[in-house]
Amino acid sequence: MSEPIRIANCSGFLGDRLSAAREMVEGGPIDVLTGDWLAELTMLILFRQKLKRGHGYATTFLTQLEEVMGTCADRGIRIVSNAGGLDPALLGAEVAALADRLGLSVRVGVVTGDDLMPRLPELIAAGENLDNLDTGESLAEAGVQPITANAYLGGEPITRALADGADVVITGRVTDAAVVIGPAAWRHGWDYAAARAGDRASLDALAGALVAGHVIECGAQATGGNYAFFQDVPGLVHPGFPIAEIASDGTAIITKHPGTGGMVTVGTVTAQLLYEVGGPEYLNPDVTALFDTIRLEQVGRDRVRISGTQGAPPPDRLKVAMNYLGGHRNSLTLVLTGLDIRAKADLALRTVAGVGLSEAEGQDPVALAQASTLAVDELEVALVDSAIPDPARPEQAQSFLRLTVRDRDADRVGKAFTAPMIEATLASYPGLFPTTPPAPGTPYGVYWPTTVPRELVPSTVEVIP
Amino acid sequence: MTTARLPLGTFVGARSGDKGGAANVGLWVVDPAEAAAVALAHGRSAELIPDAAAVRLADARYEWLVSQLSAERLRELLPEAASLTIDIHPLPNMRAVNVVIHGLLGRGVSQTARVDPQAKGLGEQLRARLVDIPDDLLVHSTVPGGDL
Repeated sequence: MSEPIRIANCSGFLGDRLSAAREMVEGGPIDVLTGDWLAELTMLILFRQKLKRGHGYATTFLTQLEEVMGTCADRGIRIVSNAGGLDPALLGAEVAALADRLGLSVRVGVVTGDDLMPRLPELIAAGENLDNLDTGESLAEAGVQPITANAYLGGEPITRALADGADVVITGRVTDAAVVIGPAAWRHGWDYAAARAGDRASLDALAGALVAGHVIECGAQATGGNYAFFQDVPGLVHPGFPIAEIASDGTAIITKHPGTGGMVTVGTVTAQLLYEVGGPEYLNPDVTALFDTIRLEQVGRDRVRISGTQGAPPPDRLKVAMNYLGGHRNSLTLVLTGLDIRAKADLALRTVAGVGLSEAEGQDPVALAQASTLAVDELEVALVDSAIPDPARPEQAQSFLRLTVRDRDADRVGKAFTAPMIEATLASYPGLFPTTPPAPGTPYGVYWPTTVPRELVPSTVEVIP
Repeated sequence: MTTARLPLGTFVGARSGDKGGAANVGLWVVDPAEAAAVALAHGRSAELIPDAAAVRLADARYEWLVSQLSAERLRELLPEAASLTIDIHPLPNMRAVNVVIHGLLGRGVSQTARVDPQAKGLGEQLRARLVDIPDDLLVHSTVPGGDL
């Protein structure tokens, strides 16, 4: 039976603590350094970056890698990262070039196959309607054009890359926990095919790794960050990042390097297990973990054992994250001070949009836009009535009227929207001023989750050199 | 039974987040071994095996929490959710309940005009709501958040 594998996380999102990779490599023994650089919205951010700068990967990962790759090569620490984003092959080439510059002999594995953008016509031709998982609407009905479309791959191709000798594995869109499942399955020789066929031991082992991966995927959120009882947490100005020690049966200990800030308790682990989940069946391409079977136990200082996790075969369809450009949006927030807040808001709203406050409140955004004098697709109005009577300080006297507009056309949410109110600055309710100067609108993306059959999404693993 | 009007967060933790236009908030009652785990984390010694009374208290608190988290009650605590679909998933193995509120975030973080567009603060908002907590869930507390 193989020893537990120590897998460290050093990133929970694009923009997380830059020094965390170095802290995890230098803070104590680990076998694998992993992290998550891709939220749903990040794919849109990377899409815009690709348009501007020609590549759609997380560049901060390269900065982090430069600090730790030499030490990792010396100590045999493998690195698994989804920082490839929209361009895993490009990032893989950059990692290989960095290794050359540093004089390191490092083999780079690249996992591709998640990017479905070039294959959408083919998938639609094969009868896939790409229905929205939340609304049931088909893509054709909605008449929208995706700008990103990525299937969530699992741990299996990462395991293949490690088995093929990769020291650093770069992926695009994989599930957040896949970067943990992959190395655990590689170390312990777990059998994905047996799991899919229903083998209990394989399913439970993979499910255990999936749960451990979910716990550490969001960095310090497992070690006291954003914790409801944060006043109990020592050293929270700089918590250590989490480590999962995963045994050959899939049971795991969640911990952190000694001497670091933060804490690992049943509470901090429970909090993270509940983060961004739905029902008790937690789906992944490799296995489904049954959250109602998880047992948590404090077994020592900053050590929580996860056991009992049962797995079920994974779904036949893979989740796909698509994003489309929804249009352009803009907001204007007016400060309303002192007396007669509703009357002031009503006057402001009739000046900007030609509708009264009572008519606007709780109204559907499309219907409200139609009723208004603004030529926009959607209008939302919110009165934040936060002032208190007899205010002694300015903040006690302030309420806010927030107008939000959306339209396909950027110009309609720009000056056309903000000018009427600005022009009325000396001609409307007493005390009028906006919280920020008027600004042009910004484009916004909309997330479109869907699924496709697993067999239509083959993954490819390439190890260079 | 007498009750005290106190924040839900007195002994209930929460963490919230987004999945597209849906928000989820997971709530749990403080684990009976939490005080000892916190003591250890601060470098003090503590016995990790909780006594039977602490376990019974946590179980009673969880039973009460589940009773507080019906869809009807949640719509009172979160009037924003009045017309939205709410899924409630109890996870007794963790003394936790996961609540999913569909459509709270419109079409998602980039589109919504909600003041908390990713529901990051939804859990803390719920913890701040005042509820009537039975007195026997507040007494003899040896866990954090229960020292009144």
